[in-house]
Amino acid sequence: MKTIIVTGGTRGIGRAIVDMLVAKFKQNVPAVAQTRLVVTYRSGVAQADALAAELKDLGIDADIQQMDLADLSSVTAFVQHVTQTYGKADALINNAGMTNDGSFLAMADADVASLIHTNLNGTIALTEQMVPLLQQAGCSSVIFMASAAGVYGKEGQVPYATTKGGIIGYSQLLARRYGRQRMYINAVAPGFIATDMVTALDPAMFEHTLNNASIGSMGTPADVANVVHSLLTPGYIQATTIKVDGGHLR
Amino acid sequence: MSDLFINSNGIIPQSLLERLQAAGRECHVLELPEHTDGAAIVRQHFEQLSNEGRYYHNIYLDLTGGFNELAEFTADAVTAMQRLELRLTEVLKALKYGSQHLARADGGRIWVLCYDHSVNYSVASPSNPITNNAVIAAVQSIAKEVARFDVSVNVFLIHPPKESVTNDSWKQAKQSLKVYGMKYKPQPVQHIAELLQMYAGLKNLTTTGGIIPVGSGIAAGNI
Amino acid sequence: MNFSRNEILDFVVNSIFLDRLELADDGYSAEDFSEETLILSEQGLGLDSVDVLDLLVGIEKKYQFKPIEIDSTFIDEVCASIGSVIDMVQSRMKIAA
Ligand SMILES: NC(=O)c1ccc[n+]([C@@H]2O[C@H](COP(=O)([O-])OP(=O)(O)OC[C@H]3O[C@@H](n4cnc5c(N)ncnc54)[C@H](OP(=O)(O)O)[C@@H]3O)[C@@H](O)[C@H]2O)c1
Repeated sequence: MKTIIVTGGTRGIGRAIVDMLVAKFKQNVPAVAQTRLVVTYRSGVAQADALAAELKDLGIDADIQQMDLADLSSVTAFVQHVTQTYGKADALINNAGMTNDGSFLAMADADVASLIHTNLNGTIALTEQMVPLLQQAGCSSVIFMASAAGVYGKEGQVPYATTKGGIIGYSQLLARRYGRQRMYINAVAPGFIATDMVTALDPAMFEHTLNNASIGSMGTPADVANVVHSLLTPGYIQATTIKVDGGHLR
Repeated sequence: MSDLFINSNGIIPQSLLERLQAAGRECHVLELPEHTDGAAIVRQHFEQLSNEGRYYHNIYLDLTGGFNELAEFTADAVTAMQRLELRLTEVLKALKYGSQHLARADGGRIWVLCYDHSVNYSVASPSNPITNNAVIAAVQSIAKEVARFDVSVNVFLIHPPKESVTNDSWKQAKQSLKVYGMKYKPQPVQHIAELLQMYAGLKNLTTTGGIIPVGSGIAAGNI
Repeated sequence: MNFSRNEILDFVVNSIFLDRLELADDGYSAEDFSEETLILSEQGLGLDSVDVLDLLVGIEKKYQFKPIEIDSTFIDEVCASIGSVIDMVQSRMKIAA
């Protein structure tokens, strides 16, 4: 039985990843019985309950757990739960994340710190603690949800871009350490994707970015989920960051 | 108008500092003690400076000395993470207060010095992919915000100089990099400093948000 | 030194908004501005926090203020309208005098 972990999987891109995996399992019926989905959320209980109910209707017995990346004891408790219940992890999809936007020169220290704690330290802490479980699987995948901002920078998102750049760097560091143990480690860098994170923004923040992409419109969570899914199959893609940005400035 | 070095212990900032001073430039140094809250020191420094009405033109932020993420994470991830957080908070503070300072001075330049972590595959040099990628994304982002104040922010991504690695390590690298007879030729620190000095001396700087590679091109390529 | 509200208004409108922030290019002229003009709100000029930094740094230089501690709460309060900016400038002048 395989164990696949999706953090922040109850809405947005994470939810699309869960939906994609479920659709694939359904196409290949034995996979439903052979895979266990572990999905985390931070505070959105209603969405978590809705996901649990939907998956149950589909005959999938998913394990939905509350975990706050910004709280190390919560991260540790989650890893303990996975250790005790499954004893290994075949894939860790580090999707959960947040943003605080605005002029960096005027940004409050607390807004910078919460980004570092959640997107960077929280993600790293979770991954470091999961390493023994990934090793236990024999062959495993780790995927990080970075951001186009972490690849080429974005005004109004200085600390967010810093954390996402950091995550890209961490994927390279992790690959240096475990690449020879059949651990496949990559990052995905979405551009603007239609989720709560983006609809909360002032359109002036992203209109020019959309106009500067050859596709010219926003991506969907499913576009990102497709790429994540393809990275779950072991191969020769390693320590790479795949941009899913509609051809930004290209 | 003078220049500031935030951390100057590494051999590259040392060499650059000597060259700038020899050329008659006034340079100041702000050392951030390792593993302490350097962010507060940076803030205080720029506050005091503004009160005195003194302004810098070039601000160097040296990240080539004193840490090696690959080694730190391999030894003890928890400590490595704590250090990473301190370091990135320090860098962000330096970028923030440095940019504000230069904006008030009608413009100026911030230069971040990093070692290219790819070189670690060939020689025993620091491998800091997290800090490098984080800092590059930060610089690319803030450069867009402060260009209007004539503040430019760039990163030098530098292959470690000859003097920073043992001869044996270079020899080994040379032997293993025999592709088509190409042999790795490390750069003396003086030559690297000469290049950085040239950038500092440009009257009009037409690059910001740039990642400026400094090396002989063998290992670069993962940024 | 003391500046009247009108002098400050004139500086903010002509030197900062029309010239430095190039609002003249967007079709604005001096008559479009008054103390009631909203700066950040979409109902007004709809400027963002980066634009507002230009305004604050410009004010610091013009009136030779000590650096203003620029944070997001300060921006929201002080930069709501041109009138609130003028209030801030005048209150700082009292401190400086
Ligand atoms: N949308 C985009 O355009 C875009 C672009 C580039 C990168 N990304 C990245 O893609 C990922 C997903 O983004 P999204 O747009 O789907 O975001 P979203 O709609 O805001 O969803 C974020 C998810 O992460 C969880 N989360 C937030 N903070 C957390 C914390 N401290 N600990 C644990 N979980 C936390 C949320 O849980 P709750 O529901 O409980 O709050 C939610 O499930 C993020 O890493 C984001 O940075 C998004």
